[in-house]
Amino acid sequence: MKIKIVINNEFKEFNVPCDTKLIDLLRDAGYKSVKRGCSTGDCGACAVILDGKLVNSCILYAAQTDGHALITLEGLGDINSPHILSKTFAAAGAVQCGFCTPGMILASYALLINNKKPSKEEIAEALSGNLCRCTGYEKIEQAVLKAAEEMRKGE
Amino acid sequence: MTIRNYLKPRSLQEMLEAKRKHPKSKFVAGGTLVVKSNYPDIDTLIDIQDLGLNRIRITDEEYGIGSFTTFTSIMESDIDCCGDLMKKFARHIGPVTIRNVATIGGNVMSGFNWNDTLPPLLLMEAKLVFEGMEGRRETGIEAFIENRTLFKDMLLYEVIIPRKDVGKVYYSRFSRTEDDIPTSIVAAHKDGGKVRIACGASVLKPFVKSIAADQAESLGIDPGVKYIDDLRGNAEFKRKILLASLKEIKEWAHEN
Ligand SMILES: Cc1cc2nc3c(=O)[nH]c(=O)nc-3n(C[C@H](O)[C@H](O)[C@H](O)COP(=O)(O)OP(=O)(O)OC[C@H]3O[C@@H](n4cnc5c(N)ncnc54)[C@H](O)[C@@H]3O)c2cc1C
Ligand code: FES
Ligand code: FES
Repeated sequence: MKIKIVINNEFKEFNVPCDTKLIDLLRDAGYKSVKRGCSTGDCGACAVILDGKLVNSCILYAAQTDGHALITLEGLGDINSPHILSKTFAAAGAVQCGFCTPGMILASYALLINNKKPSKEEIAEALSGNLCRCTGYEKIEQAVLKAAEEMRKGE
Repeated sequence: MTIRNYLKPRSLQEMLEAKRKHPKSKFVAGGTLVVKSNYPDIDTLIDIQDLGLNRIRITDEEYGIGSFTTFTSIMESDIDCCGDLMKKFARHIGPVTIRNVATIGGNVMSGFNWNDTLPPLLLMEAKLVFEGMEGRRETGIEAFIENRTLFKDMLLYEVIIPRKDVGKVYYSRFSRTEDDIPTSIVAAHKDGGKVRIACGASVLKPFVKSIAADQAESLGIDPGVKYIDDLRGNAEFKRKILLASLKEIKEWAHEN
């Protein structure tokens, strides 16, 4: 079936089998920041932003997103012009193996676009669907607080 | 079976037409359960996102929650029934990534005894409105739980919650972690000289009963109430958790 999605502000068209999962469509199309962790909706490694809300692409059919807008980590910046969150994650030591990092950054981004000064509890809540086996979360929390501060300064 | 069709009807008429044409079909709402399940006898998926059911209708008498309403939408809404019970239970349905897509209709219709919606909806005397080939049908949530198969091929259209002042509400949810699926849920409010108590997750069939507060624990040892073993605990463990909540309700009822 034909599917039209706006991905990172670019209009894209795909022709895929009806039951294609969004994660497969995205990875096959080169959006490799979308990671395959559990495939059951439990870890958040495959998270993307759908119409402003964080969702797991492993438990969505691609067809559900036909006519909608998605953001993947590729949409937030690249190595030459990284997003503030990418910088603060690196600076705070919030990245170890890095497997959870795309999902963590998108979860943080989804929080910060609506809440410029989140509390630690609000950060924990916003990141509740994203698991990290390496960092112990504290450095991730510091990175989000720092990014929020930087973003407020930049306004 | 291979999925051959993915349909997105734009009206109830189109939805019914799709159902008629494709008897081996399944509704997709948020998809959090459907996408990871395997249905060998299904060849068509009917996505209900374009039916205009992500909305909450508020009148003086009731809330009408469209079946496609997500738990995030419920948490962000002006809904205010049974104290903050509605928002409290919505908050517990998985982490934020799940609540952003999972719908109230998908939860009610997925058919597990541990579904978070069931005890609160039982307590609040919710009614369910269905659309099917034979027209619209309304039923109480208790009757639905007793006879789910009657509604197997119907679309859950709306969940209606009567607005009434029931005073303070007791709610306890036991799970291994905050975002894990529940092992026991108990919700209650005072009901004249009695307490109306709804139980789910620990028991095979969620139920609601009004009983004298001092008798609350008898619900947990009623031979008609069945517990099941699963990976979250054996039947005896679940019976003990339920009894602990029922004991707490007895004390809560005396204090409130
Ligand atoms: C990580 C994770 C955590 C979870 N945590 C919880 C939890 O804590 N508590 C809990 O209760 N559940 C939990 N769930 C289960 C699930 O997400 C919820 O039950 C959810 O509400 C299902 O809704 P959905 O819209 O995604 O349903 P879908 O997956 O789209 O559908 C589920 C079923 O309902 C049917 N259906 C959907 N809408 C309708 C309708 N309007 N009319 C008729 N049939 C319909 C579908 O055909 C399907 O059989 C969790 C799931 C995951 C993946
Ligand atoms: S891979 Fe999607 S939630 Fe884990
Ligand atoms: S950095 Fe390794 S899983 Fe988070």
